[in-house]
Amino acid sequence: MSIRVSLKGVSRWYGEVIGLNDVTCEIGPGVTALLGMNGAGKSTMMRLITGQIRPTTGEILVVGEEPFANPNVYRKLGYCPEIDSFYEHRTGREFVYFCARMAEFDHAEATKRTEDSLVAVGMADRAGKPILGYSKGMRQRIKLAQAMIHDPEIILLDEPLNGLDPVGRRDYIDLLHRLAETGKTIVVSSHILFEVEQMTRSILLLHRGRLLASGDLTSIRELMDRYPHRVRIATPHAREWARELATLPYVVELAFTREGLELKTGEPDQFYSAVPEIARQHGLSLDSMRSPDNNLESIFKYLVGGDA
Amino acid sequence: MDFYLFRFLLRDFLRLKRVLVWLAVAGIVGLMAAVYTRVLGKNDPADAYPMLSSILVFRVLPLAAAIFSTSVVAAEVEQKTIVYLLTRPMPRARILIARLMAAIAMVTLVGLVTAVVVGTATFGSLPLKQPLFWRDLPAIVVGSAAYCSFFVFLSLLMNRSMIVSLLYAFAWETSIPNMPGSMYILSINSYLTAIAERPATETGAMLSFLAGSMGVNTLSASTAWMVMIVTTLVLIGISTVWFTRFEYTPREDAE
Repeated sequence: MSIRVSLKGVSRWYGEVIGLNDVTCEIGPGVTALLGMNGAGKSTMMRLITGQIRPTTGEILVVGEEPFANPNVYRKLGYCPEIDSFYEHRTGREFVYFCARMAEFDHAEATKRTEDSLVAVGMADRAGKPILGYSKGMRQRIKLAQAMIHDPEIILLDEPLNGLDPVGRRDYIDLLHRLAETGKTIVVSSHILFEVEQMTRSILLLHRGRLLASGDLTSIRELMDRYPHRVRIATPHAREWARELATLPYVVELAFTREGLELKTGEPDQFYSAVPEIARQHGLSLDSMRSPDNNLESIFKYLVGGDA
Repeated sequence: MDFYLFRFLLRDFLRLKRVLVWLAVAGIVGLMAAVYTRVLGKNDPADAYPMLSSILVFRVLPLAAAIFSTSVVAAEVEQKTIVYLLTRPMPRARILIARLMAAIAMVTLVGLVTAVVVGTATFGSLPLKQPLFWRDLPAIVVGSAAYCSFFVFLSLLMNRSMIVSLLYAFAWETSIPNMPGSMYILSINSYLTAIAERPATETGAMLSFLAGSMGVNTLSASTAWMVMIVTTLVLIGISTVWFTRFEYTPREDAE
């Protein structure tokens, strides 16, 4: 794997507050997710990689060069920030064209690239209106268009799915996959686990400024599965469900709640497979089934020993 | 300098809303000049113009500079759009200089329009045949460059620099030229007065104070030109180095 971004012992302090603490990692082509709760240091890491800020200690290399205020790096890097600020009175097309000109393309090339980018993000027919009136989803698409305008090798997307509707999310994720297939390095930050699972298996897990885990999301999942996994079922047939579920060997605890049941299972995958079969065999219905453990906080609890 | 970036910001400055505000300012200033010379029947226009120009045109100039200079970097930081400027393959020096030049061009335009309005109100017709008016024009251009360079430099050094810039524009620039001794050399306005070769006029104490003519300004035009050009270039140079080396991230956004 060719390394495009590398951090060696990188820390960043904001006065007496630490934003990133001794992080070492390498990022190569494909989609890599930067996962962490709010305040974990994701945006700090994004800003460091995009050369907006310098590390207090350690070294960052992007395509082999230090990124701070480095035009060589910016020729190969596109950045879609989390912030939702634009030149509001400008149209989306004007904004993307502006970004193309800032990438040092002449008028003809900038115009062509602007149209291509707008088509790619599905905004070609709506980019003629001032950004002021755009929905959150349209703003996200325009931000992606400006990040892609110079066809960079590396694209960093800070919480890109915020505000997108389900169809928009699907389109956005498909687009990321297509970009990744062309050999680009895509780094996506998110605090929502299920979003990340749809985008990639490769993650960097940040918590309180530290890199807590890195690698394949499956291994994190397996780590989670070593611990009993809570599931809440809302159903009008709580007793019947309890009778059937209690016979399953991997259900280790079961309790009635106001909505139905809450149970713990040591084998979540088998449990989730068994539920539809039980419902079908016994004609039982349920209103909803969800796991309060299926989120980032739970992963952090498992990884840091209950101190999330 | 990047001409696209220069035009981009200049177009932003020339949005109808902003233009109307500055036209209103020029109109108010012109009205004040007309009231002084015509309604109050004060002085000969040739005597009144230098004083009115000093009090009105050369007060609007630093005011406009303080406002437009803020847009060069500080407003981008405040509005969090700085990220789109600084993550592009364009050297920061080029970004700063292009935007600074746009601010200087706009302030010059505001100064020229204000001078025309004040001149017209004072002389009763377009002041195109008045040597006093023509002598003000280079001072307006030099003043725009000097004020903008200084205020942009301040905005790179500190948060919410506009307050300091406005204090400088009004409190400092009004009081320092009136100070005894050589204190006046610390005021940009003193150099602009020398460049415009503005004659001293006999007015009341209050107007003399506002015009900054209570002190003794012994600067020659050539010295004033030299000091202003060197000062402006040095400020632009320092600002460029500063902007290239230091971090500028969207405000209130750091984790």
